[in-house]
Amino acid sequence: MLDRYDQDLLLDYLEGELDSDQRAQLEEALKEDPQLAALLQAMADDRELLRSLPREEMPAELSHDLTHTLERKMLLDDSMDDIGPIPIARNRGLPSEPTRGRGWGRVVGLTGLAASVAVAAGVVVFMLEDPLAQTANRLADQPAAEQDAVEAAEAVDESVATTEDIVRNLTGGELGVSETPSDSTAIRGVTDPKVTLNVPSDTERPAPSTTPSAKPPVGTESLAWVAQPQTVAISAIQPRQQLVLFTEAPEISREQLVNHCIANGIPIVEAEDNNVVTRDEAARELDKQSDQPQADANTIVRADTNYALLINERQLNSLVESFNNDAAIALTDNGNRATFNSQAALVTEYNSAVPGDQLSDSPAPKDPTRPPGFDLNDAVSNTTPYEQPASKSQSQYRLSLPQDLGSPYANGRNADNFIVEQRRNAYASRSIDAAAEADVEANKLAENKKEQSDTVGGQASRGAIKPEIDPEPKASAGPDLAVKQEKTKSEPSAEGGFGADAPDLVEGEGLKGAERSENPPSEVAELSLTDPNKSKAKPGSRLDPARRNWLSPHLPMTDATLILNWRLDTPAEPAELVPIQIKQAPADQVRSLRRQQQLAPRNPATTQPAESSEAQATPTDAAEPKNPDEVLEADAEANAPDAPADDIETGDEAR
Amino acid sequence: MDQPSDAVLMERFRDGDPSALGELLSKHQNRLFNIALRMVSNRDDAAEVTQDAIVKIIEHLDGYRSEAQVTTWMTRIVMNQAITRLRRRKLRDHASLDSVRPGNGEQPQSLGQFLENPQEPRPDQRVEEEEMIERMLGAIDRLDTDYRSVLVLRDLEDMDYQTIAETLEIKVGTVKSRLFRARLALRQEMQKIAPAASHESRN
Repeated sequence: MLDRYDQDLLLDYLEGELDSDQRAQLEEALKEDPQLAALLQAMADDRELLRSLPREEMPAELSHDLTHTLERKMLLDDSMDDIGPIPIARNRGLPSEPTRGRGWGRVVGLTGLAASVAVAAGVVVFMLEDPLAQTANRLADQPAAEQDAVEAAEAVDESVATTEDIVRNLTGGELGVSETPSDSTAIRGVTDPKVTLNVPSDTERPAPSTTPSAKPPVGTESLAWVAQPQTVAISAIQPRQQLVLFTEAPEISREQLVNHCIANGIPIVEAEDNNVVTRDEAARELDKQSDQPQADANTIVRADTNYALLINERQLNSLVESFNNDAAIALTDNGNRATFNSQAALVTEYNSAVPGDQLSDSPAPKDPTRPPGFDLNDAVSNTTPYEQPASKSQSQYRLSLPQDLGSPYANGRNADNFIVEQRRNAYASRSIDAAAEADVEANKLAENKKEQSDTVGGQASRGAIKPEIDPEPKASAGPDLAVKQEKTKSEPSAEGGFGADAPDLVEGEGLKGAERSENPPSEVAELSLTDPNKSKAKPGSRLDPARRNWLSPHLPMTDATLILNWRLDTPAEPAELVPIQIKQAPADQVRSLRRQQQLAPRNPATTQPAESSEAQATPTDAAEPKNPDEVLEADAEANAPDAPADDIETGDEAR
Repeated sequence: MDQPSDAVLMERFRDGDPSALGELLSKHQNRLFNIALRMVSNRDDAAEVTQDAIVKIIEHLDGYRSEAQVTTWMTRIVMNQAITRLRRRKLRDHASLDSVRPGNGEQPQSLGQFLENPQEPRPDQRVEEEEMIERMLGAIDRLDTDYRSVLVLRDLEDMDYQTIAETLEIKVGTVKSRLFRARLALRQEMQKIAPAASHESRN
């Protein structure tokens, strides 16, 4: 006899798991209990309805958000285990399109990055010094694996192979980020052997892929080359390819950078132990060599370059175009000389500013129809090669500030009101935890002293701060109120000022908040004294204080801000710069020129482009400031004999 | 051409084919999202839950061992994320929603208790299918997390008891008893919503 109230039995009945006999028996029993029968029928209907609920497609933006999350995880360099809730922008107005599997390429790519990373920041484009000739010279003494790599690379296309092609060839079509460095080879094109890329041995190379050579759709191609043990010999870099090293950057900038590179097939390789050092290290090193401290803007450097983009000029062009005017990019050569656009200059100058420096207005843009900012041509030809005016002391040096870069100084804000010292102090007081803690302690002591002094001195007249132990609470009501009022007055400023607007990557606000700061930094600095807690990093902040310090709020933190990275080492004999050519020459022209270059000695008269001196500025000796035009002319002359073999303009002339 | 199985994709991924991970995620993304959606009853929250779950999946993929099926493992992760989200939401909404939402004790704990207090909907409370779906979604949203979990896995994912037990890491017996109580609770919530819905529609 069935127990019609047996829940297991009823469940099996609802789930259709009773055999026919049991089912018949139960239905017979239910006739005696129509209430239960009706309930079961309703439950069965519910079940059917629940099962018929429509399936929904995953929102298209989810993969983007996930990419952002992964990048943020990388930036913060913390464990993926404790990932907290990452708020997804709500009501972003995007249609909830189904993803149909799109976007996972980036995610997977980032996974590869995340697995091995300490993250990105800043960008340096190292121009490689005639790598073709260097490659040829090096082949003789290269390890076998490297030779293979080079030969394989050159076999792709002897003259116009892109880096993508090279690396695809090297890795059997699958590129990616090396998670476990197995070997390192100096980036000889950059001269300094400390700059290395990981080059695994032959046995570590992934098996050749059957992936068709046709470029896969954006978003899927990265599956093929990111997160794969990757390897490329730096010596295989062809002329006209640059090495972009990026260490850590504002997350959104890096996200864009990485995404752009992924979308455009720009390989990301892992660099190791390059010689980019911290500014303090540079200062110490320089101070050793001189009686006078020389840690100035010439020595601005950054640490922790971990990844490199290996790009050719087409890709570089695409890269900088994608960032339009928002990127601060430095183009450096292996002689540690650099040319950079105004934003990069801004960063550098700011970093080198000393207390007392003031920011000045920038000159008007040359082309009023076009906002100032980065254009590779501009970066090379129009921006000032780095030159610290020797005739001016640093305290006299006025920073050049672009007006229309979305910076805190834009939109009518008078840059002269902005005192570097205060900003710097405010930032430092917040960003360096140790300093903040020291401030806290010092301020506590100071406040205690002040409280004691006020309590003894003139409590009634000035509403002095309440002493720690108040034997008569009623008598101290006035001072209490005064303290509250004072705090009430201070805290909103702190929230609305630097403390609230400072970059807080943990909270996912990126660095944009810095743009919104309306309070002068002096207030912030002051507040950090009166309310030391405001100067401390937020609880849960996991950003390395040193890195946070580097994330300057001074920057116009647009979505694509890339921050200057600077190499310190100064070779004894700076090599000649290789000017960058922007234009993309027809492949056949370049190929023929490359062959000519390989087969015949160079002819300086034909290798130097007539227009390159105007199109591309080369850095000058920092100790001798020159008129930019003079610099360009001088560099044009200096570069003429060593102009790159595949110079496009040269090719036109040769033809 | 048939899709490769999860096991094959995992094997490919372990062998160094990163595209396999993309395929795996693409294959399961909608399923995971729908689980999250039915659990948290909100697209934005579901997107966040799915996102967090996928991050977890990606991060722990290397450590995944084949004791459980990939599907079960991934489902467990997204369920855990969803439950965590619901708990957080419950804490957040505690003050404001307790007065208007049924508490845990209001849902029937036994069949007898339910039968003693039947609230059969009136015949005129029949609604259109969309309204029924709305009611169903609303009712699910009011269920306890435990009940919601088994219902989602059973009816949305069509999992058997054993798989549900593995996913939720509970005993099979617990799954069955929880499932029955969940259906009862769902019925009760459906009945509660029905009068309100009709009242609103009339207004």
